[in-house]
Amino acid sequence: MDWMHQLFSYVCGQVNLWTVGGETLPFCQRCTGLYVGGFYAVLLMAVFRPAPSLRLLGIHFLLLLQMVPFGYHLVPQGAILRTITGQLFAIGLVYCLSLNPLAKLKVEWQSRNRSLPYALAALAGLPALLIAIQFGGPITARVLAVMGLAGLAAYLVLAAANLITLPLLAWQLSRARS
Amino acid sequence: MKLRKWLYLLAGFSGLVGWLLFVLACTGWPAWSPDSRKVLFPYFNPDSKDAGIALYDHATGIVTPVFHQVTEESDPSIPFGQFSQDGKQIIVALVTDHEGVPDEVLLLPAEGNKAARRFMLPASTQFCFPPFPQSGNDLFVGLSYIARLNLKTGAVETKEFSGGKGIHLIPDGERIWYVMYDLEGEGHEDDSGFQVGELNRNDLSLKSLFELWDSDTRSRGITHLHIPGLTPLPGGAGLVTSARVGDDAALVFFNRAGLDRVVTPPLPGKGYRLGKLAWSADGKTIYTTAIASGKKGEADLSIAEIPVNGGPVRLTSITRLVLSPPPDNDPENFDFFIQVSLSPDGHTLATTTGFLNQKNLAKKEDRALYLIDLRDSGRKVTKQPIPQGGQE
Repeated sequence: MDWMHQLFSYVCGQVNLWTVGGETLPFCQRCTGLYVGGFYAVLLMAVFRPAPSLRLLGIHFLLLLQMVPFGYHLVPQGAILRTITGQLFAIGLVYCLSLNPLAKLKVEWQSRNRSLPYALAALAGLPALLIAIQFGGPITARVLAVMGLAGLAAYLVLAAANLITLPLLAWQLSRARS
Repeated sequence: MKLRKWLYLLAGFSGLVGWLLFVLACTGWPAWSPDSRKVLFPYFNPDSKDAGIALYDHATGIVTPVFHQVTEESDPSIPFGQFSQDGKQIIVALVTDHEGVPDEVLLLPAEGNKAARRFMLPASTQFCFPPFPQSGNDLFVGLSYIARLNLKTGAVETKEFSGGKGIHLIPDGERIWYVMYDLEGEGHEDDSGFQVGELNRNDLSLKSLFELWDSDTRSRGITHLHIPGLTPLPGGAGLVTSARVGDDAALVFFNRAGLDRVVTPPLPGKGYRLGKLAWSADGKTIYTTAIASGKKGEADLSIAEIPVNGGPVRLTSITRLVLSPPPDNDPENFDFFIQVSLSPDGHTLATTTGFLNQKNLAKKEDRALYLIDLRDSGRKVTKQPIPQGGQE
């Protein structure tokens, strides 16, 4: 996994790493939540496609904002909390980054009553990752590293899609206003 | 529809900014660069009277001095170096316990020809050891006062404390532990003690957790406790340090309420002296230096791998030292300076004899940085000589 360590060194300080089955993951404990959790969050968006609403967006904003006290070390925290806050941030981040690209792709949103299964599935991912870290062996470590890599790739694709489509959207909105 | 578009715009923009800020917030590690490719170590060349900090680059195998000064002293003060959290700067601490001599911290660019920054600290008769805690732009140094150095603006803020003569600050993720030593307390006139607690990074106030006096540690059979070597336990539940129980090397574990337990690892003989500790990435093994004194002052320096849950201790021989008493046989004066450091990726241990006085080395060429490959079952040791004098 050396090349993965090298790759993630560009986006992660690689301090406070999880070791799963004797294998050190290529990202820190918080980024484990962000990138592995990001991959999971992308799957959730693909399966549940929760319809965008102010309420849902507000909740996902809060998931992003919780990273301010945790990510900037204003709150004392241990390894588990670092990973959980990374996972929560990932759910908020994937939701926010997905809305515009999915709308451009004219993806059909699911009805609002699918929000609860989406939320429950998202919450179920929190202990699942920690259990995998705690009890997993070397194969689990490799699977998590690959999931993290897929999460990073998903963020890059979503970020690129937003960088392309957001200026267009902003221009359309400003034109509509004027 | 228009409202929905505004939602998309807001969400997409927040996501992009959020991810960018997240990546920026991810933290680094001292001595080793955050990417585990470079390591800083102090050195002294008695021939050229050149003392400084050298950088070893794993990728190129080249050792270069990043800071050096020529000194006429045969036993000069050795600077300490560590990388800033982002790995872009090198922090060099020039600290002496000589009375009236101010201490200094230099901030040097790790790459390129950017400007350096110099921080002057008030004089102190106390000494400090790396790694120094860093939180964002703030670097914290503990001497006979607590100093907060703003690496961005150059501002230095100090705060006095009462109760002890000096203070060590210990980084532990977002937490900073402190150990205030040489305590003075009523009823302890003939006793020496230390206080452990947490430093508030914002107002530099101290929150005491417990005090421990020599009489307490003696009652547990501890004959020497390596106070500056206190190292956080994984998960932040307490601290651990090396110690001696009679002729046996020991590890002393502290929880947040005080002394928890004393463990004597099964080393292959008596008389071992353990140095500062480093945890393996999985939190199951403690790495440390182990010095075993032999005949005529000869001593073997090894790296010990101590399984925390019991089991045999693995020793990897590094080099032979010469300890001529005093003060070399006094752990207070010698063992503090030989430290072990684990790379952030958990693959490599580093230790150095680069700064030792020539009388402490069996051979001149033993003055070097030593790297131990933990992925190699035979624990391959690589030796990197110190920079030769006159280099820039």
